[in-house]
Amino acid sequence: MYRLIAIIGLQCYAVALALMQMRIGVRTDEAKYVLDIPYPHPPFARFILNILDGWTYHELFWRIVLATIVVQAAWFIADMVRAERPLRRAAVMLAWLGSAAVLYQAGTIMMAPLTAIQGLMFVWLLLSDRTVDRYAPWIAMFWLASLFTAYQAVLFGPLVLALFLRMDIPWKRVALYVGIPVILLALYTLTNPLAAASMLSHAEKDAAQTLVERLLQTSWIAVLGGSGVLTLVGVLGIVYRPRFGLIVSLLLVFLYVFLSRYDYYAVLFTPLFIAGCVRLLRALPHDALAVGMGVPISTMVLASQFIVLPTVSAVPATMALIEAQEGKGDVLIAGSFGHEWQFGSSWPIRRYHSSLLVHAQAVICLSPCEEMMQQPRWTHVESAPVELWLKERP
Amino acid sequence: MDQTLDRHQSWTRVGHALFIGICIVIVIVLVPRAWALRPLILEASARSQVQRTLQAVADTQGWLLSGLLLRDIQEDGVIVEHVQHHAGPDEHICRRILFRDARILPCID
Repeated sequence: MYRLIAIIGLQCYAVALALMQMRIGVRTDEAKYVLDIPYPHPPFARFILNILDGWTYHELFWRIVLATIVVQAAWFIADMVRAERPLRRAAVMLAWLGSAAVLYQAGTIMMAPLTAIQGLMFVWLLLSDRTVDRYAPWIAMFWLASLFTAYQAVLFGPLVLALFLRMDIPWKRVALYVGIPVILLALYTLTNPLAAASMLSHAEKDAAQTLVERLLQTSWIAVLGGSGVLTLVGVLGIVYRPRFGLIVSLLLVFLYVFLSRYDYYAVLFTPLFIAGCVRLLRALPHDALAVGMGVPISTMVLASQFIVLPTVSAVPATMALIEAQEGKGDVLIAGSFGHEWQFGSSWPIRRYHSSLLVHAQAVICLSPCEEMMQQPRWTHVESAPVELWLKERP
Repeated sequence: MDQTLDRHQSWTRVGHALFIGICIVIVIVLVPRAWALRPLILEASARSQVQRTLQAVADTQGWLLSGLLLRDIQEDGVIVEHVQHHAGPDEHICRRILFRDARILPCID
């Protein structure tokens, strides 16, 4: 009965997190995945996310599904400390649920939270005292699916290797299960030059920053990953009771974020910090409650002082004005724009060029487009949140 | 006891066969595509020519580069699958783009 109440409570939390993200609207990276735009990540998850494309509740559905996966994954954490008392188990679950990374990323339609969950599954299997040898090929398939969800999954490769090395299976089979999925991912990359080009441009993004600036920013993302308290406990746990897979994965995640800094990578740290926390608490179980309470409190402090949510998207309001006109033709956009404009539009989007006006029904100017003032048959819509021009109907 | 062991072993065997099967399918799908695009990896001149052509056609047509999926590289041009992503079903159109003048032609099957 208590478990059922907890499941329902967690589900309410997941829906609340999904609605919080829904209010902000679809961001460019999210649009990339739900529209199945083939970069930067491999196709497995984005193909699934695209299946419902065009359905009115497409965005809400996936936000709730992904938030549910991230939030209900707390039960795997409870299983990692199942020998402990219920209150201590709940405290470790709270460390996951209350971390800033989970709070701000659970309801996003991004690959990072999905990869984090895949990482958490590998942590769960690695720290489990159960024999999982007979599931080896199924774990290999999960590893393959993880790699074809997002490239970042490779950061958890050391966990996977450590997991297979622990099993009583021949080393040739370990090489097959761990190595073949990585080789297939490399083969996929050869067929998708856009993915490779995108990865290079991401790596060059902060090239002008100094080493110290990069280190500080990477450390900040690690702090977000565990709201400070879990970060500290997690790192202590990994260092205090070292394990090859955990240490190397943590170093890889840190190096990856160091090279390509995005706040949403914070959640990649969280499963590793949970692993460190679980290992530390197995030695010091009395401190579980302090950690469980400390994480949400530090998240509240971080949220009130340092974390800024993205601004509400102008796309739905702008597209509603275009739709109201019931016109036909392309939508042209001047200036730099993200894929969220494609997600919000029922018509093809093209970059603005005056020669394309003849087949267009609307022009959105995100950078100045003075030429529009001289165009006959085009009206400026004052009420739009961005500069919008609509073609007059004949 | 023996029955449980047998069940576990057959469970592992099925999983292993499925894993190998999935890997083979992925190889069958990816190898021909990688082979068709090999000039991109082997020749720097082909790489820059393809990049220049796609950029030119994207600039004139207002297309996004992310909507151009490279399928083949030929002597005189490239074959792309053009998708204008938007809400709802997207149309996938095969196009041939010439290196010489970035002219767009329909694909010939």
